[in-house]
Amino acid sequence: MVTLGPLAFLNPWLLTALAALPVAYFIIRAIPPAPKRVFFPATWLARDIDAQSAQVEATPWWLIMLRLLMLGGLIIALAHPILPPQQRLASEGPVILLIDNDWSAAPDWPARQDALLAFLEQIEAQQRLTKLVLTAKPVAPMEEPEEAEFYSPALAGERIRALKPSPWQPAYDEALTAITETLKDTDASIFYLTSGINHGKAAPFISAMSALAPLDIAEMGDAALRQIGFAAVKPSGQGFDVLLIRREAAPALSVSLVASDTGGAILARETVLFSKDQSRADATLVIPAQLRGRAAKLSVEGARSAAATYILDARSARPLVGLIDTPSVRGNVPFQTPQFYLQRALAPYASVERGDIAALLKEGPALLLLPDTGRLPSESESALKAWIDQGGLLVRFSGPAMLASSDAQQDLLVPAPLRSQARIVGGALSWSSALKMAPFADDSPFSGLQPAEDITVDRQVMARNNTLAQSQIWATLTDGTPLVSTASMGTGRIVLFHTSADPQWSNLAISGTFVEMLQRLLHVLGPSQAAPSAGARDMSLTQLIDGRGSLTAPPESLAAKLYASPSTKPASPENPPGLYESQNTRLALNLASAAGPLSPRSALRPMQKAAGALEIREVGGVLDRSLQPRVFALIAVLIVMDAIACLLLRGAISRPRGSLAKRLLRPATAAAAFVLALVLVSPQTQARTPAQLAENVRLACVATGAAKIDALCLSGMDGLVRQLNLRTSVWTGQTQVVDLADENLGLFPLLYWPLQAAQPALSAEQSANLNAYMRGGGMLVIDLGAGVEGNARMDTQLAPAELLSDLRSKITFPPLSPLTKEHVLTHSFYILSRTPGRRGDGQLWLEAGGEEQGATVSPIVLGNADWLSSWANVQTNLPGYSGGDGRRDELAVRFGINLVMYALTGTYKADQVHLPALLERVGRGD
Amino acid sequence: MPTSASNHSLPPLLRDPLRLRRQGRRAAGVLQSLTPHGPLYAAHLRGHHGRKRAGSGDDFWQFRSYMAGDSASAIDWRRSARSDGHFVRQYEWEAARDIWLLCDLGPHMLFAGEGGEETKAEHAATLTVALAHLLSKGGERVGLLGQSERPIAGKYGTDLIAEKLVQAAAAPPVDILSLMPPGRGTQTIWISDFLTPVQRLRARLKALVRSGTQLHMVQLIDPHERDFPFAGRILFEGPSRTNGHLIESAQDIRTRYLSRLEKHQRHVDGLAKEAGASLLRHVTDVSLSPCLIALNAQLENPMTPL
Repeated sequence: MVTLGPLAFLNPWLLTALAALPVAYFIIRAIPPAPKRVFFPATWLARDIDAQSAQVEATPWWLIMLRLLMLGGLIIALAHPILPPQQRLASEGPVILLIDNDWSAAPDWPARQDALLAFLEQIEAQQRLTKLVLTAKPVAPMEEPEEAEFYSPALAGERIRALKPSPWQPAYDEALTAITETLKDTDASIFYLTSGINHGKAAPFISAMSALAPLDIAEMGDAALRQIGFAAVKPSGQGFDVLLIRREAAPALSVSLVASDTGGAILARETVLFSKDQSRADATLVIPAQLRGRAAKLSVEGARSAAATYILDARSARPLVGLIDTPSVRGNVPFQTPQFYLQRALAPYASVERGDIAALLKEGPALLLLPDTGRLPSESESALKAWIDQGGLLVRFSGPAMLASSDAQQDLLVPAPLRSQARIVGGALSWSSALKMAPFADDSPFSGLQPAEDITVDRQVMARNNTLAQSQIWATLTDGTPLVSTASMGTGRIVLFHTSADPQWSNLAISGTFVEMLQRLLHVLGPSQAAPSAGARDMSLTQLIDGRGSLTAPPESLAAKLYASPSTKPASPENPPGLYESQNTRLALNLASAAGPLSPRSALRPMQKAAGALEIREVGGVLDRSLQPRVFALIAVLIVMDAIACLLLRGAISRPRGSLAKRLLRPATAAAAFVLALVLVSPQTQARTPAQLAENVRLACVATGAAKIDALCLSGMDGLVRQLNLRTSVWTGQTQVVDLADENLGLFPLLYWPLQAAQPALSAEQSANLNAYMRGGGMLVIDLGAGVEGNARMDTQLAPAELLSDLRSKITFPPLSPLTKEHVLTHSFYILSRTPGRRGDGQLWLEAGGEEQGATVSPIVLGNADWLSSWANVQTNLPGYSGGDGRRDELAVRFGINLVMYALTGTYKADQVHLPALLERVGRGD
Repeated sequence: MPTSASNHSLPPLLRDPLRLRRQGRRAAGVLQSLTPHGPLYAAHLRGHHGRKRAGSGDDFWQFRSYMAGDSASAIDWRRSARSDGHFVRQYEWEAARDIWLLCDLGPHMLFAGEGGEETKAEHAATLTVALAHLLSKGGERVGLLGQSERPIAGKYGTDLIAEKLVQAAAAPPVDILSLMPPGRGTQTIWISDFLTPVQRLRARLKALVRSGTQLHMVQLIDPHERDFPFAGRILFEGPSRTNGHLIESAQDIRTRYLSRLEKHQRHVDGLAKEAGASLLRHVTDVSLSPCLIALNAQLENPMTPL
């Protein structure tokens, strides 16, 4: 490496080639650009003039300069110029490359890898050895090279490429031990690429290191912007209350907080704003209630790290609600038990489990619902009371059963002693009408809800002697009597609905307000934070949050282990963050948890504070930058400029008056025409699929086997199709020749069969197919005169008798009759009295009875006038110019159009036949 | 990429007889709109020409005394009543002329300078069709020399001429020397650029004149051929395309080219005079109408009676 001023070159010897540039100058000068070629018919006039003007037009100087610049640039680029770093490393000799690979390095990990690789390249150029030391334990254990040995930067580079950030905190002690080991018998310096965050204990670590060896600390430039983590996530009534923390002393930043489901679909999004120098931000992520059950993960967009990912489990996403089964006289009939209404109300928002008290308590529900019941058995009552004391929440609903038992003995599980009679506010025997609900008080957990107007309460239970304090009442009726009351018991709580959970006493249970109130109860009071009862169960890790915050399958080493009560421990290499599962429990462990490492109390302090007097440098300042790609890019630009200049000189691009667009247009038009031609030509060459055939109305010729006749038929039909498209609204596609055995026969409304005397006998398949076609509504036009040579006006015979009799034996003919003036075919588009073709007024035979109203469309049209030739004639001649038989051809075309119309529209025009009679009747006025 | 006609493909006008016919008629129609009165085809390019002798025609020629053999119906009774003798009214003999059109569509005609809309060949073809249209409207018999067997009168002839021109454009060029010469008493309108070496031109001119036809020459020249607006290092390619002619500095030879062109044009003038032919020059960047009007004047010139 040789340094020239501010530049250094990796291959400096190549620069000697620059000395050859003057030679190149003369070579380039000597080769003039290619002349402009001009077609000029009067060239001979100027032929012998040039002898006098032999002066050669030289290559313009600016083109020479351009090319020399290109050549010089190429040589310089090959010499590989680099900008050396502004700051030198502390020392020579082997380098210990110490890397922060914890979650805080994850958001910009690819950039970090690039920087590390650039650094390794640089020390490789300086022929120094290195060794990698990681501050955080990697997820997949690195294959350890020989202990304490330094190795080549190339090998280190491979490891860096394979390395992924870890989803936990760094362990500085272990890193320090490793460094001490390495430094035992060598002199090495340390290069520390830090994430910039001091996870605590970094200060003694750094001071210990700087005591051991020369230490360079570098940091990525804008890492701080994305080092954000969840500190706490709390389910709330509308969604989640979230506390985000980020590195301290950073500029203002706004980030997006999103909730997504297991498939990654985003359910809700919230913008969170960190103001300048503010390191924490509270946010409420509102998720529509219907979607809340699907929420699986919260994350901060743009900050890909384990800390910026919070996975949800049943505890936060979908609370478990126990619904206690009560004996019912009516049995378990839908619409008649309170359980039915409660289950229907809560099922969208919670996992509702039904069962008896003992079984439900084992499940560890967030909430227990106890519909109308009398006094519980004493063991159940005490178990329930114990559960409530520990923080459980019991919601009770009143009803006849409750009243019946309240005389005898005082129920323990109510906010206040109850009267034994229900208060009847509505009904036949009361003065007052049913009461409505009053708006919720502000301190009530239901505040903000709007009770529906149409809710009425007929009966309610009342507290004896009005012993309920105001603070105990969460909802009232319009007269101030309690509807929902509560009392705390131990660390838990009892909530009593003073009316029933079914429509017996009130229509509250069938209102939307009921659902909203229960939903509030789920979240506002929150699930008890008590550890799940399945605490001691061993669980296995099924999904790991990797360093960059994605959920991945854990590596063998982590998946194989069993973890005891993982959710109570901090996330660490021993208890990796992720989803744990046992038979029926699924727990999530996040970096942000009560046990740490991220909690509402934690803060992300900058590393600078720990580094003390040591300067933390920007990593870009320590690395050299290769200028080679830029020089190559410059050369590419020069090449393009040169090409344009050459084209200008040759006149391919003409400078004056925007004819450039015109010239560019021409190749574009050609290309478009080529593509269009491909599109148009290709369907003709390849067989069409039924779908393609059915796109348009298509006419078809029956293959006769004689190529000449087939060609005549095609050209005739093309002529007809052209006229059809010109004169009518029928838009027909390409005509084609089909074999009678073709299974797509049914897609053609009309088959034209230029039947020849030499027609080979029909095969069984062909005749069956043709019969099916005619039965299915197709129309077969048989022309016995097509392609027959000679003047056929002479022979009036319809067809060779034996040919027809052969056909009759194969095809089911309806009885035929000659075309009459009244037939629909003569009125379907043009009004025709004759149907002439090339062979004169050929007689036409159709199914008998076609002139009657409501007649069917004749499946067969038989004639011998050779219309094909007339149609083909019309196509080949120029419009307006008619050859000898213009009138006849025109009539033939009209007949052809009528024929197609008849095939397509059937007897639609049959009433036209009676038009004269109708008009006459109108004229008569009756 | 020199000019629009550098590739040998024909311009669309010379491939589509319909289009050619339309354009020719349009050119003729412009003339029609320019004329001051009436349906003036006949007035402008007239067909039936008085032959200054008695014969069949519409115009009165003379009264002559009745002679034995004249039919009684030929007697003009009004004239006869004024005197004692019987007079027969005679009309001037009118006959249509045979006019041959000779349109040069060789490769050297397939040239339009940069920015020019139409090649010389297109101009020539349009002019031919327009002439044929006007002349046949005027009752003349029109034919395409080398393509038609004989001149035909009527609209059908014009239609045929457009088609035949398209056929001729697609076919390899035919030398005039090998054509059946137009007969005596005919008129021939020769449309070309006449930018061929003088010796060659003289031979063809002689061959035409020798057959006894009255020749009218129309020279079509592209503005680029007239002005030579080239500059820089240019490889000029002639119609044969075999070997180009490299000019290092085209702007330097401009004056010499122009003087040569002028000399050539003088030669052409001389040749035309020598052959007794009229010569009309037309530059292809202007409309055909003035050319058509000038041609009309030429055709109206008194001609030698048969």
